[in-house]
Amino acid sequence: MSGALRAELRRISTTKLWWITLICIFVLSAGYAALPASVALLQSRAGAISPFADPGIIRSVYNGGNVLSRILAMVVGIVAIGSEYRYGTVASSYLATPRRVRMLLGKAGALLIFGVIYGITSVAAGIAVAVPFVLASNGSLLLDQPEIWRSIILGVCSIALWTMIGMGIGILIKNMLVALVVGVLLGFLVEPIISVVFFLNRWDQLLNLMPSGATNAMLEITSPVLFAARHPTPWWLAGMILATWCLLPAIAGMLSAVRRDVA
Amino acid sequence: MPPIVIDRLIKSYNGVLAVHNLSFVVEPGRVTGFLGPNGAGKTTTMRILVGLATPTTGTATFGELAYADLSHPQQTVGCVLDASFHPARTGRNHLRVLAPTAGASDRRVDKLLGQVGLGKVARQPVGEYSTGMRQRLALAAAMLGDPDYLILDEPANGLDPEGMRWLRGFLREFAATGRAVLISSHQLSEIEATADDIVVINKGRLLAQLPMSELNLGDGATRARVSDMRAAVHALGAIGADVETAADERGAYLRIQGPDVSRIGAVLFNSGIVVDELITERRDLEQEFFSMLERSR
Repeated sequence: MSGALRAELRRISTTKLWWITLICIFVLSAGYAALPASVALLQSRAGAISPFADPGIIRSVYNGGNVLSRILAMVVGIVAIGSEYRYGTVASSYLATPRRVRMLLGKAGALLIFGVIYGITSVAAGIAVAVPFVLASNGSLLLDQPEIWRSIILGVCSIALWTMIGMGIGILIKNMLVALVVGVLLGFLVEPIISVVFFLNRWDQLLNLMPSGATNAMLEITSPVLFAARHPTPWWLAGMILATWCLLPAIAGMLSAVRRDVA
Repeated sequence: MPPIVIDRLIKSYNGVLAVHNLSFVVEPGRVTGFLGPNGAGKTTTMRILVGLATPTTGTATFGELAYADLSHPQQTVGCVLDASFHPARTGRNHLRVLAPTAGASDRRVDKLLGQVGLGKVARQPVGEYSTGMRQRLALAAAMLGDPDYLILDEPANGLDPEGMRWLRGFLREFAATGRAVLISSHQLSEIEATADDIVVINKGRLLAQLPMSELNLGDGATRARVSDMRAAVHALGAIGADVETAADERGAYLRIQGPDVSRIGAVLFNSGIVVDELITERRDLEQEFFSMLERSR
């Protein structure tokens, strides 16, 4: 198992995609964190109490990059699996670890580790952006509050889980380019549109069951800009819903991959 | 070290039989050439053997163990199947990805790269490699775990003459240490120079399994083109040679069996017959292979 995990970590770290994604996540997360921070700063009146002492605003800045980072993390998951089918290297993976479930668990473990790295990067960018705003408005980073840490850790976990969703899509759809198009369309278009429909109709229970809705509830984001449910499920339940979203395609894909001959 | 055992193997794809009741054994200490025309079922058999495809019925095992049951597969079996690589990964990193499960260190990776002659290009992306360089890399990957068995499907594809020569020597040395090689190839002259045993299949069925020594390859009949065929037949008949007339695009000639070529030359000379051509025909694996296929029809 540890051999399979180390092999998969090397497989991901020996292509450019992982660090290109890392840089993109950092830069884009910083930009997306600056957005709610600037809005909060503009809305605050001079002399009033600093908006950067409000846990809700601090949370939305720290996790500002989540909405984009999770899609990029998903793309890494899709490509990690899809490129194996695309270049035919999946056969050498199976030869190295012929127990197929063990091989796929090795891949899942490695992707989860990279997902955590992406999550940390995204949140770190958010914190870095928060620093000048906090200093300028005499606020606080609130790093002494457990609920802020919970939000940070769950932000990291949610991005890692989205990497797993990508892995599931990559196993289910063997053609990497099709899997990428499907994944990005689902993540950027189809899922948000459905979520908006649920949001506008105030179908909170359905909205909470969507991957992005579950992620919002997990991070305790309540901003209507992100079409977050007005009555979110508790964070732990939301985390389980998101985990189910990443497990379903992964398990379905594993079941099909375990039985089939390797092309 | 136990042999590779293919036992009553059947594989059907949507009702079409790719391998039909195939049984043979690959003995340790020997190089076994696996021959058959395209679509005979060689690749399918090899893929089943290493667990990439599941048999419909029958087994393909290393001794008693299927590939998936080996505790250290890469340390037991090395494979060169279809040489697939991620084009952006360097040759060295390709091996480093496979190294942890093979129990190989970075030092072993570098040593193998040197052995297969890729030391200088080790840090270039595989996308820049020639076909021959990819084959060498695939061989290095197969050797990572220092295995007991080598399964090679068309390893000579794309190798230059020097690479083929190197491969031949490498396989002979590998088998000489008591380990087993199963190698398929279209280049029958390569197999003839390398293999100890051959297994011939066609349409998924076994045609022959036998040691090369039983094929009696080598010198065959003598071919002679002479000025006076009748006089030659008479003179050679007198020393007990078996003579028949044959013809090709250049005209009629004699095929002589029995005495060796120097004896035939001397007899023709002493009989005052002008000789235009005197050649020892060689029976090679290719002729044997085609006559086996012919007989199986």
